[in-house]
Amino acid sequence: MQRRRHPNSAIFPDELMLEIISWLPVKHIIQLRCVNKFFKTLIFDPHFVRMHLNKSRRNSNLALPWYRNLDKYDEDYRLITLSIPYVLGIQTQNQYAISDPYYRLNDDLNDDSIIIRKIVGSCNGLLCVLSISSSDEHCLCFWNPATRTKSNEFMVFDCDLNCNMFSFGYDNSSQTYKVVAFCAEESGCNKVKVFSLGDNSWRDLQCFPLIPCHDDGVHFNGTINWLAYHNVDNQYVILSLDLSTETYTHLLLPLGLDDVDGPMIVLLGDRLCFCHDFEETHFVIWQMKDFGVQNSWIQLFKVRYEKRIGFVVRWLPLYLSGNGDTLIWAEADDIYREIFIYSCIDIIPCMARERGCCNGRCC
Amino acid sequence: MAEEKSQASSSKMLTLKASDGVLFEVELNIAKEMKTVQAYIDDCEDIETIPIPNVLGKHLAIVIEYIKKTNEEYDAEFEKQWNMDDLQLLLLAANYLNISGLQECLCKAIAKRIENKSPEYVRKVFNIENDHSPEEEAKLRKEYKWAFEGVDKD
Repeated sequence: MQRRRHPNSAIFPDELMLEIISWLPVKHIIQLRCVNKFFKTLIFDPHFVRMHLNKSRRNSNLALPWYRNLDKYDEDYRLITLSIPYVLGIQTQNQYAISDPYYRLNDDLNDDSIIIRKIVGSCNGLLCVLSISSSDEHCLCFWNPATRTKSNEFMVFDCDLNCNMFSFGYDNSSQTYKVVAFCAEESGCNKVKVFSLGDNSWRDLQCFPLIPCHDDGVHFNGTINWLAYHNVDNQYVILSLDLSTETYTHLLLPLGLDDVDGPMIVLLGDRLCFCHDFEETHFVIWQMKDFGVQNSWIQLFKVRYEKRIGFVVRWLPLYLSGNGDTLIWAEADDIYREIFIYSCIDIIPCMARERGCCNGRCC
Repeated sequence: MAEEKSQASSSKMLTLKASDGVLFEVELNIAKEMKTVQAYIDDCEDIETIPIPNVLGKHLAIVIEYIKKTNEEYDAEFEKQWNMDDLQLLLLAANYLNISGLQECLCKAIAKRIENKSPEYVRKVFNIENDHSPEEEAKLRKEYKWAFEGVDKD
């Protein structure tokens, strides 16, 4: 890196300069591409990217569909990202729509050019999105909200099958992002395929030994995990696919769980978590402290619903803070079709103790 | 952590000699936090005075103080006392002496001070020459206009 020398000035080796810059937010690093040629190429240097990622893992964001017009929620929405601190700092309903720190994917593109179906998943800050191209085909694309870059669209493999389950993850051993697709045929067969970013092609994988209950798998540390029902053992298990060996294992849920309603798995606080409804009055969250170890499940929270009589409430936990005292979840109400975000600042982790209803703020 | 260090069983003292000749007597366990010094000791066991040619006395004093007192609270307040020039020289010292905790603390502190400042400011702070052509720079600024929104005044 060229320098203009002044007497008594500190001359940093490049490695030290990298270390300083790796603490900066992405937006600023992109601005600093103007400094000189060395800075310009930083964001493409894999070593720097890894350094930066290791530091920025602690900054979480939510990616949400934002319906501009609630009457036309199916047709008109944008994908936005919000930083968690920003979400938690919100006081009034209007504030969030106006301020800067969120970014809408579709605004940079022609309105007709891309119709987003759903967010498949996120990994290391990269989002995988399923969309419909202008030629009416299903395709995947990858979006980095921090650098505001979007990949090309990759066609989903041609199939007459009903493909509705996609999961997104990262294979640590080959350092590749992968998308796993599950197709259920009417005849009862199922197919599993994997797409590797880089190769940009689809390959077959061995079929699932068990059929997942849910839409999308949860990515955790190089594995993708689905909840599945084991018909022989009559219990729920977690079906786990190792992205590097491309083999499946079963993980057991907490011991002693009776029939559970509304089960789901999510990633919270950097661990795989299992959630379920308890007697229609409470929402329970378990966390697997050590991956694959049944004894390491602990009950994190047992939260009372504020249920409206006759309505089915679905809660989806989205984020748990590092120290475990802030939980953000979305509540989807079948009748009203609105999504609320609540944060529970005072929640106390409990083992068997009930917790009173949390006060929420909607935004 | 600070208490542990001062009451360590090893009472052997070592002398560190800064680039401007200033001498510092430190306990062995303090000196060992500087991996460069540790390597020196490993090589020549009987040494009593170790030259530190790249670091001025005033900075070595600060570094030694840091090692003795470092904890979360101390680290949070530490960087506030120094101007940018001193921070940079301290970072070079920490890098040379190979003290990872101090190095990280200083990198973070310097990053915090330049965060959201303009490219011109950053060039000035680190004495970096702009090797972009005017056209290249203009192109970058246009392409990434969004990244320049909300920049602090220099």
